[in-house]
Amino acid sequence: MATRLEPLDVVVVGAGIGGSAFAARLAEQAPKLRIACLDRGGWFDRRDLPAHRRDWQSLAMTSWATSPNLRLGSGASACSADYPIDDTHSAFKPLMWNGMGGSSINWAAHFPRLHPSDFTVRSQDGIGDDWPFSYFDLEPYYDLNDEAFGVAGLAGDPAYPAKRSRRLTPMPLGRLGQVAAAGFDRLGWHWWPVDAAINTVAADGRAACNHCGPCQQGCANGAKSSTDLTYLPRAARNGVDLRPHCVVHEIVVEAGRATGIRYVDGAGREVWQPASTVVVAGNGIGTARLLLASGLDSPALGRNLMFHPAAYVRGMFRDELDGPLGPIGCALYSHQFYETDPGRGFKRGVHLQVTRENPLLTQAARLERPWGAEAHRLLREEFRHSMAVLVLAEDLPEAHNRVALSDHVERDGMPGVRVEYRMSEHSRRSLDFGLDRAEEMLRAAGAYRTVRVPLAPLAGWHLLGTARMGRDPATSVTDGRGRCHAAPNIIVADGSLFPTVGAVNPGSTIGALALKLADDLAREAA
Amino acid sequence: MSDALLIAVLDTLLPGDDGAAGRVALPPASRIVSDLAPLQSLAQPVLDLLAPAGFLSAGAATRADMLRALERSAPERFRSLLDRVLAAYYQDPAVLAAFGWRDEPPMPRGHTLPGEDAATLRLLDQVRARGPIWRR
Repeated sequence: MATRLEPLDVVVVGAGIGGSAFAARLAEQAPKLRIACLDRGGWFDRRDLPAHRRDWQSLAMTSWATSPNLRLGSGASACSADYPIDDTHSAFKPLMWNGMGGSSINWAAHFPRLHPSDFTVRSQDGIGDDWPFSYFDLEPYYDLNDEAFGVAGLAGDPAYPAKRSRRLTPMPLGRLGQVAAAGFDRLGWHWWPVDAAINTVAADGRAACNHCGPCQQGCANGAKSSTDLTYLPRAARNGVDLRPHCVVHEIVVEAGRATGIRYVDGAGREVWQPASTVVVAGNGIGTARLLLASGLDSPALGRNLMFHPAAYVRGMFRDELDGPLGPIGCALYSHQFYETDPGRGFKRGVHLQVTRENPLLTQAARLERPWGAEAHRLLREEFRHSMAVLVLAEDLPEAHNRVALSDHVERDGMPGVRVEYRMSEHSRRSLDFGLDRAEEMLRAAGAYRTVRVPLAPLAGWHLLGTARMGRDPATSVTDGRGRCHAAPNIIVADGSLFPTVGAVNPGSTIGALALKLADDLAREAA
Repeated sequence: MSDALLIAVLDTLLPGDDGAAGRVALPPASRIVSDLAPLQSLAQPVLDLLAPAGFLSAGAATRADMLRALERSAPERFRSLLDRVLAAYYQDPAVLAAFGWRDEPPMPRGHTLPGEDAATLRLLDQVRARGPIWRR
């Protein structure tokens, strides 16, 4: 017999970037609403993070890996409430964090915006789809979201419409960034220091980054913005009831309206939570899993999964670089090739990002053959002498790429979930073009040798498109306000909504979008 | 015999080097992984596939060939053992020192990234001068 709770006006499922931003904003804009925000995982204690331990390198590959499957497979428990994902038939392996703060706990905090053209892909390039609103409709919310996260960067980037001045100075480029900048400069290509949601000076009651390194295993001093430090405390101050360790099994839908959710709480109790509006923000896999498990009748649900195809090139330099120091998502990027150029043989473009390097163990393990005398020689040559250029391509929506339920029940009481994703020829051409440009830049910067990695399977951070916005219920799941066509009082508020995805990291856009959708609901509630 | 075989396998996987060009020498794996007992459960399925006498009497190049064959024929067993050995090896203070890395966790000291970027950031004047590159 389920415990029946007092009805809420709004229950938010998922406390990652989308859910946290939505809950915090709604509570501020509509203070009379009774709101709760649930997550299947809990809070974590920064004192327990791998960065404080000597075995931090191996923890980053096991119990604190970025992949939930690797964490589960290691047999050890981190405080992410993971569920297995069958990714056997997916070119990219999904990465995420399941706890309060969501994947902002272990993200790199690379914080680019989409470009204006990313919202009008169909109109401008004849492929993909248009968003139901423009960059400029979302721009005020990008600004609000920047303020909440506290962005370190440099204003004036000509790859974008003018942005407000960045509140914090850019992350130091380091020797690696300086060498890369010189390479781009020699070629006459665009480059710019990254926007990072990381404190470069103490701000908002949080410390400055001390460049310790393992951002993707949680930030040990809180310099990296994650929503457990930003939106969730704001939400709590404004009366949102935050509920960790709640695994939602079903959104109950009757006659085309959600009436509430059924979940199991941390004490193992079955709970029935009536609510006038249910907001779902569990990322492109978790959201699709819950909506499918709830029987939502929507043919596009779970389909059009997009990741951002990823590959990279490493360059080796005679001079010593400082690659393994500092936040992995920095130092700089180039959008020289971001916009469509018909002469390239594909539409849309690529994001080139010079990232910082991995620690010693990871660099050793990624060698083509990480053992034998040759491995020692190669690692001697590469460690502290290498630079990686990440290439992200624009994924396009394809219905066969999808999240689907399996026919067995997982330990969390939910149907199992699988991911089917085949990378398109278009994406392959985009990546190959980007890899060529990355090699060109590395050579211009002085690399004497390059290693091309044509696909980076463990780069599946960006889980997008599985509950896309649109007008047509046959080809989209929600309208432009995130409301499900099949049940309008279910609102999706995460990256699942993206009709197209550009070629940049989506965290900034997910936050901005959630703020916009919260305002839409607040206006209706007024 | 079992310990001798495991030691020989470890030192074929990670034989160390002589630290030429003025660098600190890398020790062989058996000097790092001196307590073999915790490795046994992962190592035994690999050792079972080797002929002990043949492996022990072989030279370094032949031993490496034998492990390469095993890597192909039993990739999961091989990789499980290798991952454990790599983790022990590359987190050891002597190995970290040989690569010029410090033997302490990232926190609380963190690291210092040089902040002298002024000259590099002046290069952005040319990027700005080329004007906007985004499409409306």
